[in-house]
Amino acid sequence: MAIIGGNNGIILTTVEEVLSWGRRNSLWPVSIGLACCAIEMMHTAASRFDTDRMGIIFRGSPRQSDVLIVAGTVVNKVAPMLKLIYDQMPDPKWVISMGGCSSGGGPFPTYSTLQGIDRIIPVDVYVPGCPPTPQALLWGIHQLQKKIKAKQEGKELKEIPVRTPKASFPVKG
Amino acid sequence: MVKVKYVARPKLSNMERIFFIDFIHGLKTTFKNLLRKTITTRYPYEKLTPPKRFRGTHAHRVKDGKEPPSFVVLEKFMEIHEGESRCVACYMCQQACPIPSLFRIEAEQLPNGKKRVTRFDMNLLNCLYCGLCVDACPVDCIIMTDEFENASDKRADCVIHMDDMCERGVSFDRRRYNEPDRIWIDDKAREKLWGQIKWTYTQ
Repeated sequence: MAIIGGNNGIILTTVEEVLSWGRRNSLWPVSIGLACCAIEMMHTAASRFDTDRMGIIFRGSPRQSDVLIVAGTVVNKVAPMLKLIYDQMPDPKWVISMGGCSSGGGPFPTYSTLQGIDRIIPVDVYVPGCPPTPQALLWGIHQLQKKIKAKQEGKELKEIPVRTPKASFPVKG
Repeated sequence: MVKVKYVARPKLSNMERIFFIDFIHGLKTTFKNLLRKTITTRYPYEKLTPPKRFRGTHAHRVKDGKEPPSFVVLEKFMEIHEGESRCVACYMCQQACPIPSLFRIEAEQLPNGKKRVTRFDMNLLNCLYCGLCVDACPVDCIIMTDEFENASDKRADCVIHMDDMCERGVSFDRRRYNEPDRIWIDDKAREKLWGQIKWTYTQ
């Protein structure tokens, strides 16, 4: 039973490693945009911050996708549809909560707005911002890739080192 | 009743029919963009510098001798040492905020009668990044920096506290305090992206 026994098996660990590598480098999100965050999401997919170079291709159907980027305000009327889309996605699936509205209600603490999508679906990465810049969303996607890698290696997220250069903001002149 | 307008199909000459003139005409734009330099920035390795007035994650300025005169007035009522946050817990930022519940500010009175700020938390998941708190601050304490990379897998990591806000403020002032407050760092960088601006009036 050593082969079936999770992380201890020889064959399955290699398979899981390859699967994890493939999954985190081809995250296909569902293209649903609910509010102004969707504009920044489109900007992320456009030519200046090209997500295609990281294997992120926006799909039209939840059956073909791995990631749900919830971009925008989720009102109570849309919440059942969001839950339906999440249920239609095949496993494994991840959720990125983009912006303040979907993470915690944002500036709408009202009766008609869902106060955070983690009340109905599990969330993997929260991206604060109103709306987040395309670079902030890409950073969130990197966090998700790190999380998938950490889960495969059985580690915490913080134990995976960041492979980005330290001097992030070169100031000219 | 909707009227339908019928447009006659333009008749092509024999020259256009043989050499695909219209087809080449449409491909001209494609070839022009094919030879251009790409504008894609490879994000994690190559980051765009936001302008100085970019509204990113909040930070606190520390007491370092550059305070406005209003801080000198309030300073004798406060227990603030050198290198600590300038915050005087006046709750003006909370008053100006559209969602006041995102702030959590607490202060206590010491036995010598002075006031000390014990807690200054902000929940960034509710924040609008509108900058009203920056305008409202009387002692020029709360500022907005150019940092935006604070995505996390926990809600608790999206709440910023006073000590890390002070660190962020110190690093922001070290990098960009002397920079002129304008959207583009220099005119060359702006013209490279947006072209030359032709003013309709002389300045």
